[in-house]
Amino acid sequence: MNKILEVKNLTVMFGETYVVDNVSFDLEPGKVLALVGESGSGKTMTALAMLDLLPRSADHKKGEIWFNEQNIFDLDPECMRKIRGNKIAMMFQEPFTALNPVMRVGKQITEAIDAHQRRSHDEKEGRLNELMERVKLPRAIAMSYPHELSGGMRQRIMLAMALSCSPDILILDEPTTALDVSIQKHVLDLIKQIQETEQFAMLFITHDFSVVNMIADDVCVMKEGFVVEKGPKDEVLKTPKVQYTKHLISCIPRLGDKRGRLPG
Amino acid sequence: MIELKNVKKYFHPRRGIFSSDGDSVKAVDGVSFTVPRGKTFGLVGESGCGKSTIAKLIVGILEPDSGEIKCQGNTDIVFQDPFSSLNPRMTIGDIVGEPLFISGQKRNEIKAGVKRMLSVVKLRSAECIDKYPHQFSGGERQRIAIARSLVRKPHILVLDEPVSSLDVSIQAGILNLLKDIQEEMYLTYVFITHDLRVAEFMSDAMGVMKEGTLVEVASPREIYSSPKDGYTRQLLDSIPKL
Ligand SMILES: Nc1ncnc2c1ncn2[C@@H]1O[C@H](COP(=O)(O)OP(=O)(O)OP(=O)(O)O)[C@@H](O)[C@H]1O
Ligand SMILES: Nc1ncnc2c1ncn2[C@@H]1O[C@H](COP(=O)(O)OP(=O)(O)OP(=O)(O)O)[C@@H](O)[C@H]1O
Ligand SMILES: [Mg+2]
Ligand SMILES: [Mg+2]
Repeated sequence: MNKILEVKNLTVMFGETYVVDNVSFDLEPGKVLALVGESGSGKTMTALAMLDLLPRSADHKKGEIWFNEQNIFDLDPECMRKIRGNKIAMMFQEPFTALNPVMRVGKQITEAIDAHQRRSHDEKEGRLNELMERVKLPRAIAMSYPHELSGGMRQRIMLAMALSCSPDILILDEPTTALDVSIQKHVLDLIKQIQETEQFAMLFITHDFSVVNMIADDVCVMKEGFVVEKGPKDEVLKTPKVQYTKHLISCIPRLGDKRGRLPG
Repeated sequence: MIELKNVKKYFHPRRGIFSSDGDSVKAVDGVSFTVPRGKTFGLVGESGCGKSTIAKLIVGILEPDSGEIKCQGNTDIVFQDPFSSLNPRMTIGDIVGEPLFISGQKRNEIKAGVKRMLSVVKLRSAECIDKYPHQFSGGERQRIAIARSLVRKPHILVLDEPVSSLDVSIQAGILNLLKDIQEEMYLTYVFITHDLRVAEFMSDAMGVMKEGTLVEVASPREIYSSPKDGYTRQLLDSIPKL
């Protein structure tokens, strides 16, 4: 197995509270690991740790994150800046807060390219066109400001930004929550397709098991900061070992079963 | 009751300082529907079709260019993007308790009300009330926004993708709760979602939107058993199967 990133015994604390507790997993090139779990279980904090972007108030962190034979926690800020957005890219959970409100979204994408690569103006324009097409947005949308876009459009702009530098590792935090099923399917197919050609490793954070089914190779289930179950997708979905995973899968509403109440 | 009659809202993008090039965006282009008191109208449709714009028109954040919007009673909204709608300088206790404070309730009543509502959205109130919005996860912020709106007890509540980042178990709890409160207090909901399963569960009537217009309005049963519009069919076909 050739790992590109290795998370070893990651622990994150805010004061006395453990929000990530002894979490370990590996990412492999060309593979998708889905990180699932209930709201507040520590998924986003795990991802932020991989970019060394934990909030300053997370005063205790332990463990190691190995990337290219380096422990991310030992790197100086300058080295980390070169990796972030370039080698390891992340699409954040809340697109509105992650976008600059006073800059056109197309410019934000080309600036993301500028930050890491020397490209001519024409090359950047070409890349921008390609990215807009990939996320199924008309080119004219690049001229808009974030507040002029719908929730799903902003989400796709964030995805284009994350893809802009062809990263080795792509972290997507709830990337399709604002997308209707048909665009969601398109975006997931597209991510899969780009991934198959570029062979990057992916950490896909979601709360939705039907999305897991569509995209993941392996699954890691989190609860209250712990990993409670880990394994190949088919195993985890078909024969979940832990009660918690079974429960999450059983709660998925299906069309047509008009129940008065949902099991919760 | 909510009544929309031929409502239009266009946006005119201004590209340069003086020029206004680019076509205007017909975000809402002649939409009419009525939601009787105590009922839920589900609104689905592709990204960018105008759902959030309708939400903002109903609660009066945006003014329609033409058409008529009538709402009986006070309105409130749970925004699609919870973080930007929570005041970053207020604690959760204050955010959720503010409507009670404004209505003149006593301190201990406010405290009890806040505690009750936080536990209803499955947040541990003792750990939460003194924290600020940035100290919460995405789904927790979504629940804080819902709690605040329910404390307000509006007659009309517009929910814009309120459970999109919640796992199914918490989602189920909140959807059940919304239904309970609706029955108890006879609230009127407009429920925007991209999840057809959720729309079916919540709605008495549903509207399918496309490019600023409603292409289909019917009960969820009718829409799912015999979708008339091609776009509705396409949406139904792409529901992931597990
Ligand atoms: N700045 C902070 N200070 C204190 N606690 C925090 C802070 N940020 C997050 N937390 C807490 O850490 C826990 C894990 O948060 P995280 O954002 O990783 O959850 P998540 O699994 O991504 O949830 P969601 O699905 O709702 O986004 C949560 O209980 C949250 O309240
Ligand atoms: N303030 C604004 N200025 C200019 N255009 C806007 C503005 N707000 C919305 N729009 C445009 O109006 C259209 C409808 O946007 P809206 O936010 O209502 O979509 P939506 O149906 O909620 O989509 P989503 O499911 O992605 O959230 C989009 O094309 C959007 O770009
Ligand atoms: Mg999160
Ligand atoms: Mg919207």
